[in-house]
Amino acid sequence: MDLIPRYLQAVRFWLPRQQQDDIIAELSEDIRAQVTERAAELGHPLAEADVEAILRRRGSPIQVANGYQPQQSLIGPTFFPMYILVLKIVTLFSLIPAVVGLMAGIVSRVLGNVAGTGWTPPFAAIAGEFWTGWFSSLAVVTLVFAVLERTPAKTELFAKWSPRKLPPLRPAHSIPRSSSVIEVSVGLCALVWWAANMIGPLNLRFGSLHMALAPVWTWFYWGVLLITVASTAISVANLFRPWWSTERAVARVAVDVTGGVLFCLMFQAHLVASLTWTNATASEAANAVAQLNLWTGRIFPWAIAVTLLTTGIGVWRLVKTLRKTDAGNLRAAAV
Amino acid sequence: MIPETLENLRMELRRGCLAIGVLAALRSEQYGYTLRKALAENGMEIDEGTLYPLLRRLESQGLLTSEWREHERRNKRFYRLSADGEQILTQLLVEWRRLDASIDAVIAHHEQKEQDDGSHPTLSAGR
Repeated sequence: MDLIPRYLQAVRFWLPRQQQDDIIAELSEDIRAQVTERAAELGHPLAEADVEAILRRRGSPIQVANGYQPQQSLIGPTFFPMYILVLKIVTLFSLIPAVVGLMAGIVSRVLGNVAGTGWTPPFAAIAGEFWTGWFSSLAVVTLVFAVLERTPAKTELFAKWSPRKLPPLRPAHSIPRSSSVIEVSVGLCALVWWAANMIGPLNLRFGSLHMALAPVWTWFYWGVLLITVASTAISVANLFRPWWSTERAVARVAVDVTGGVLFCLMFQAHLVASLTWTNATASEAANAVAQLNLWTGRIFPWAIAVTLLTTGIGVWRLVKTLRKTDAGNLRAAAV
Repeated sequence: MIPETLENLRMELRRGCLAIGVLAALRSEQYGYTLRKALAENGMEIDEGTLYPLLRRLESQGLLTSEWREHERRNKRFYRLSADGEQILTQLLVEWRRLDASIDAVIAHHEQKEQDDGSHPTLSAGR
């Protein structure tokens, strides 16, 4: 029966080298005393199962050895919240190029297939680059925080803080100006581009492929134009008054819902009137139009889901704004 | 959720108390096995995986001294409270009694308030 020596050997493996002999000698003596006492209780020498029960109750060798180690962590509780925040930011910035790449790939694939060029975007390469970039970034961030954890910077960083340097109070429902600047810039660019290029009757050209849109496109053209104008106007207002008011939150929800409805209708409106390309027969072209409209129709439920999601976010923002306004009023009343 | 929370809080509460119990028990010299049994007999169950690392930590902090010595024809490591440990234990016991009195006062205040409000006191159970 060699369970006890094996147990001690396993515990020894996980112990700090300089303390191994001392700890094992004491542990060995403690187990021996326990075995002797148990044998006296039972009135006979212990069977292997009895020894096994004693050792099991003491815990696995690694657990027992860990008890003797000082508490260790790669990144301690002081830096951990900051570490998680940086990881989230890094993940977001790793995802953006990957998502943009994938979207571009999907669009290129759809257009490539329709135009007959048969180009397949490198989805695997995009995903591979994302994983490699993401993991490398996580590793670097973890390394930096692990080093910070072990330098005097930690105590200095938190010892030097001053209440006077704390950021000013934010309005209860503030809008970052940077977001408004981006929204206004994108909105204006989109407006100019849309007004100049998408007015009907519309004929689109992708290489050798010609696509004519149905007359109903005119409605969508003006609808999108008006929604973009309204959305940009809200963003301009947000830029100068960077907090959500109830009126602007309601307006944003209304614009989002209208835009969503228009977006959904586009997939049911059979927008493509005709397709032609080099050497295409009339039946091939008609078949391509039917296929395209069929597929856009199939996207319709997904468009509804996206619209519901957008609307949900808008309603949530509105509810939050109203709730915070109530809380602010209550606070003001209390003061 | 509640049993888990209770267990976590109980462990937190015990952690500090165990150190005081061990220091108090080691006013007289003992080796690990007898110390654990002595604590258990007084209602302070402590497993080996907690006791021995705690003894080492207290020794490294200078609160205990230890020596290997032969006893009943076996080598055993005997622990005892050091002079520094004696001082620290005295201060810890003062703190312990102060905390105990504070908790009693808080509970008494709460019960008095409930009695004044006409409801039934509930916190003193078990004390």
